[in-house]
Amino acid sequence: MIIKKRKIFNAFFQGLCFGMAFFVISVLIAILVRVFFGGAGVITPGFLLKKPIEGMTAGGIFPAIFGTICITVLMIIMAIPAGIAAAIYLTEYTGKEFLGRVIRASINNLAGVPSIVFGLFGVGFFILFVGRGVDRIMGFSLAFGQPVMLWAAATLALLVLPVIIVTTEEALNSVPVSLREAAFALGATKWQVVRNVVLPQARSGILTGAILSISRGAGETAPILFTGCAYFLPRLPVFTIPYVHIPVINPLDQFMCLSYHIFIMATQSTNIEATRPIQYGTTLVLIGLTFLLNLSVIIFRIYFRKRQR
Amino acid sequence: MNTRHKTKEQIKTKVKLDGLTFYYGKYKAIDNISMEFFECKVTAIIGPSGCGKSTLIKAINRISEITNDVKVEGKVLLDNKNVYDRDVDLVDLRRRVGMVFQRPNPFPKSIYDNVVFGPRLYGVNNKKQLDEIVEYSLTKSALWNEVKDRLNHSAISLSGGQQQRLCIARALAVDPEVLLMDEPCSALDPTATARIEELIEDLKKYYTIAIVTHNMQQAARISDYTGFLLNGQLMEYNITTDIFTNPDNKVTEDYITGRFG
Repeated sequence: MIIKKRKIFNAFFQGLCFGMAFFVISVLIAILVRVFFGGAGVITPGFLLKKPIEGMTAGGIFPAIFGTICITVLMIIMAIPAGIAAAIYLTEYTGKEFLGRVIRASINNLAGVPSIVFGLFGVGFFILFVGRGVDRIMGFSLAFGQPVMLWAAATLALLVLPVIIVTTEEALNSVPVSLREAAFALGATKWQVVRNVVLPQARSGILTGAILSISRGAGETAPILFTGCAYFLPRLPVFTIPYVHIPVINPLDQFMCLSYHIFIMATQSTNIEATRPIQYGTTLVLIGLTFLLNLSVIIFRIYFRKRQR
Repeated sequence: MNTRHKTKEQIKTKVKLDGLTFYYGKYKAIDNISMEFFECKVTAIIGPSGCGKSTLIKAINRISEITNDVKVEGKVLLDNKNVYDRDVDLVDLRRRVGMVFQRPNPFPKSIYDNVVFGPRLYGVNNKKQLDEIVEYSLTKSALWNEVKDRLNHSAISLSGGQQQRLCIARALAVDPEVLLMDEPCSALDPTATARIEELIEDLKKYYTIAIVTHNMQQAARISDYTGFLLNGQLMEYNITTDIFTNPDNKVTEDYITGRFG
């Protein structure tokens, strides 16, 4: 009798786990299907390559796509070196000492801070403190002390930093002790061990951190809300170098962003009904763009893994 | 008795442990050991698992302190210089005292890059010089003929025995004076073990070799001197033939004849 009860419980538990997994997957599928059928119709070359017109009820979303790519790339460029350096410090230099534990606890808490708080911190710290300070010292009237792409990317970088640090730390810790020992036994200094043995081994793990942080950062709205994102801009945040006429991205300009674009179309537009298909289309583009950015890092990772062999 | 006298005249002390006591945290792994390792001789350390054999040789190149919290009392003299003195440069110490580990641990790089890893750390970047080091080290570790046509292949593609000989080549590439071997054959099959043993026989012409082994036949075959460790203490240390034919200590005899361990 007892055996039968045990078997029933086993079957029940298995069914429960399956049900939960199925629920999670079906939510994801429901979102993707809804967005796809709602938005696929409006996606045309013109939608992807033109700017919005008539109060966002017509035209395209190119400036927002451009801005999202710029800010995500800028965020990664800022967050990856800082995150890797912090993770190396934690795994290789502090260990389980008091300082290491304090830093680790801080990082975990940082990961739990709501994104709107990051946005406000970005305004207070980057724009008003750092930006205005730089302006005053350099004698600019108003260049750094205003909401611009640079500060928005920096705020996002802070937001994704815990993700990068934690995944990088895991990657560094998974490098076998035997390899470290081998290098030390040959007379390597700590830096040489990190540089020649640990980092090459951890490379694909570190890139996983980059993938996770792109997914996290590219779709965020709150941190960039006050730090540089614009409702509408008639031109791209591009700066042309005089004489040679090469256009470059200007990090000291405001920008449009897909996530914010969805938010304003859904809440601030003069004609919300008319923007609905565009909202779906923009959402689909945002999901697709995040996927593409991730894909590029994944290709990078495959390349590294192949070279390792 | 005659042999002992004869060798004693020719030999020179390379490494000398003087009252060495070694702690991992609060655990005393080695208890007041004094012994000598002689130049161009193979010294085997035998004893049951956990008796401190590995700790003993790892104390010589100070490799344990990388991953463990250690405390050391007494001295380890390398050419009469205590390696635990404050002014000792660990990088230089580990160049002079090479090590081969229990499990082959080649880097996931090419065979070539494995061998030149050490020299590159010291700033040798001349391609011709590196090529020479690779051929010299691999020849000495009896691997050259097997791998000379595929130096750019991954070291991971080699067999276990080949990997261990590669690790020996890697250690030889920085031109050490002492070679520490921590059960270098324990992960290998008998054929590969035999090759490593031949190699050790050959290498002792140039290096001072300290080898930890749990295989008593191996110690008897390849070593000139043998130390028997038990619970962190050196029970007996003598010429290998004496230890195996006529041990002074009853415990040594019991261990060697297989009564425990």
